[in-house]
Amino acid sequence: MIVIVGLSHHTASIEIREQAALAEEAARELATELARHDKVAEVFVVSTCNRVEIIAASAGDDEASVELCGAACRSAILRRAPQASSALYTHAGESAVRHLFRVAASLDSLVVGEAQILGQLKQGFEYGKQVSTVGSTLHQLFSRAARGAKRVRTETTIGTGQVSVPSIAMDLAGQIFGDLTGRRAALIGAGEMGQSVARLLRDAGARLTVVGRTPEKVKALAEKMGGEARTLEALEDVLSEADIVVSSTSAMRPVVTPTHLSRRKKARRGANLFFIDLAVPRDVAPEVGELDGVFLYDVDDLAQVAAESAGSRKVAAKQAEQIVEECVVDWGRRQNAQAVTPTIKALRARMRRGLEEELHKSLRGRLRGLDEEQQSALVKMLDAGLNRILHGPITRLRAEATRQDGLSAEDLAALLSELFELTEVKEEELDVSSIRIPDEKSKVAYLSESSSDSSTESKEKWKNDAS
Amino acid sequence: MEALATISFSLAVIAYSVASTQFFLELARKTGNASKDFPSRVLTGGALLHAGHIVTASLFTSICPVASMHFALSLAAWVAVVAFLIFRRGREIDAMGSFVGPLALTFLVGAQFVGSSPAPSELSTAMLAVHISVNIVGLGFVLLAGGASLFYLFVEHRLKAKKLAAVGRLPSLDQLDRMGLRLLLIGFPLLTIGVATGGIFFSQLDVSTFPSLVRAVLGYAAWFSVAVVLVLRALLGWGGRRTAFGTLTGVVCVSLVLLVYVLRPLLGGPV
Repeated sequence: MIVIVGLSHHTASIEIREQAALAEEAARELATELARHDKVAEVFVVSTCNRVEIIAASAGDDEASVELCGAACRSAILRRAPQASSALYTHAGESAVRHLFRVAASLDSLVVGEAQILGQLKQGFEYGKQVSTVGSTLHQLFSRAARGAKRVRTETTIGTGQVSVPSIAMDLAGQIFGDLTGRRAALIGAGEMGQSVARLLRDAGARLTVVGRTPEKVKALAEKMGGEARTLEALEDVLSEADIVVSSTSAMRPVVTPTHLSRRKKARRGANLFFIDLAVPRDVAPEVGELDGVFLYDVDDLAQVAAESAGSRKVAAKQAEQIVEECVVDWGRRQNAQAVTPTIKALRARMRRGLEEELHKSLRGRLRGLDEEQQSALVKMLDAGLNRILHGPITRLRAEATRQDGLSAEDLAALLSELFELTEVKEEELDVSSIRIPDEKSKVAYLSESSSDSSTESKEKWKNDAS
Repeated sequence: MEALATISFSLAVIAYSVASTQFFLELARKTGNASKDFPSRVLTGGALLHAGHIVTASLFTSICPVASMHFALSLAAWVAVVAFLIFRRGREIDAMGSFVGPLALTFLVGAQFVGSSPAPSELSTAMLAVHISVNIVGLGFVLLAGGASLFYLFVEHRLKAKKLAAVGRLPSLDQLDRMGLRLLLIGFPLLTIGVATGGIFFSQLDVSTFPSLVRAVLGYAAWFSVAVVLVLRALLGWGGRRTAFGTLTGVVCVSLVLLVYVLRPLLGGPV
C-alpha cells in the first residue's frame, strides 16, 4: 500500500521546512536508509522549498505493515527536524495516491498551477531509482501521477496566464523599478526556480551576474544564462551594484546578512534593492528585509502574493480536482485489476496443464505416429484454443475486478481459486507461455508431481499409460 | 460672459468629478484595463474647461488671474493638472490621477469661496504678477511632487508589508521617485523667485500682522524643505523614502501658506 509522510507549506512554517529540507545526497541517503526497513518495500524522497515528503510502498497491505512503514518515515523526518512533529501528515492507501496526484498536478503547490513541481517530483523519483529504492509499484504510481498532471495542464486553463513564482517575482521587480532595462540582477546559486527568474530578468533587459561557490560551475552557468560570473568572495561587490538579487542556493545558513550590505549603504544610498529568496533554508537573513530601501521576499511571501491573486484560477483548479479524482479512481481500478492477475495466471496454468497431460497421453497412444512438425502444429492449435476459451472469462474477470460495486477483486480471486483448485498450481508454472511437449525425463517428473490433479482414478490411469 | 464662466465652471467640475471617479475605479480594478485612457481624456477636457473658466471669469470680473488669491488657487490646481497630463505621457503613472483629479476639483470649487478682490494697490503690479505667477506654477509642481511622494510612501508600505492585493497597478517606486525629483527641479526655481519677490514685498508692506508673519515663516520653511531635499539628493545620493518625507514637509508648509491666505479675513488681514 502507498504511504506518504511529509510536511509542506500548508502545515509547516519556513523555519521548520528549513530544518527538514534535504539536499540531493541527503535525499538519496534517506531513501536508502528507509529501504532497509523490513516494512518499507519501495521509497523515494521529494524535497523542495515548499515540501519534504517520503513516498513509500509498504511491504504488505495489512494495517500493521502500513503503520510501521508510516512510523519509519515519520521518525526519519523527525530525526532531521525534531520540531516538525505537529506539522507532519501521513496519508495511506487511496488518500496517499490522491495526495501525490494533487501534488503532481500542482494543486497543492504554493502557486497553484505552477509547472516546476512535476520536475521536482521526477527528480526525487530519479534519486530513488539511482539508489534502487524504487520498484514497480512506485514506478507505476509516479507514471500515473505524471500522466494525470499532464492531463490537468492540457485539459484545464490552470497553466495559462498563471501566476507562477517567477512571474510574481517579475511583477514585484516591475513594481519597484518599473522598466528593468539596464538594471543589474544577480543570481546566487543554481536552483531551477532561481534560473527561471534570472532568465526572465535577463529577457526584460537586466544585466545578469551569476554568483556561486565553485568558479568552474559559476562560469558554466553564467555562460548558459548569458551573464557575468563571480564567486561568493565577491558577494559584497555584487550586492553593491545589484538592483535585484535572486537567491536559490542549497546552503544551510544564510548567504546574505546585513553586514554584506554595509558597503552598498555607502555606495548607493537611497537606491532600492529587491531580494527574491527562493531557497529553503533561506539564503537571505530576515533582518536584511528590515533595512531601508530593501525589499525581501521569500517563498512564503511569494505564496501570500500568489494566494491573493489566485481567484481567477479557482474554476480551473476545480476542473483539475475532478481530473485528479478520475485518476485516483483509475489507479484503484488498475490496482484491483492487478489483484486478479495472479489468479488469471494460475487459471491459465491450470488449464494448460490439463491439456498438456491429455496431449502427452495421446502422443503415447493413438497419436504416437505424429512427427515433430505435426506435434508442433497440434500444440499451436491447442494453444489457440486455450486462448480462445479463456479470453472471454478473463476479460470479464478483469472488468468485474475494476467495478466499484459487486464482488471485490479478492472475492473473485477466491471464488475462482476454489472452483478450479488454483492453489495447487505451482509458482514455476505461472510464467509458462505455451503448451509444452514433455520429453521422457520431464514427463516422469511431471506425472509424479501431478498427484493432486483431477481424480485419483484418472491419475492412476495416466500413470499406467505412461509406464 | 458671466453665463459662459458659469457654464465652463460647471462643466469643469463635472469633468473633474468624472475623471476622479474613473481614476479611482481604475485603481480599484485589479485586472484588465479596457478604458485606460478614458479618465485622462476626461481630465484633459476638465483642464480645458477649467482654463476657459479662468479666462472668462477674469474677463467678467476684470481681474487679472495672477493678481487675486481666488484665481491663484484655481490656477495652481490647473497647473498641477497640466503638469500631470504632460508627465503621464510615456510613464505608467495614471494611478496618480486619483490624487490630481480630486485636488483640481477641490481647488476649483474651493476658490469660489475665496474673495476675488485684487491684491493691495501699493505693490508694483508687474512685480506682483511675477510673484503670484511663479508661486502659482511653483505651487502646482510642488503639489504634484507631494502627490508623487504620497504615492511613493503608499507603494513602499505595500511592498514592505507584502500586502499587494488591495489595489490594482500602481506606478513603480523608481518612477515616482524620479518624477518627484523632476517636479521639484522645476518647482524649486519658481518657488525661489516667489520667495525672493515675497521678501521684497515683505519689506514694503506692513508686516506687523500675525498672518503675514506666519505666511512668511511658512513660505521660507517650504522653500527650505524643498532645498534640503534637492541638496541631499545631489550631494549624498538620498532618495526614496527620506526624500519623500522631505518633499511632503515642503508641501505641508506650502499648504499652510495657502490656508493662511484663505483665512486672512478671519485672521484680521485684508480680504
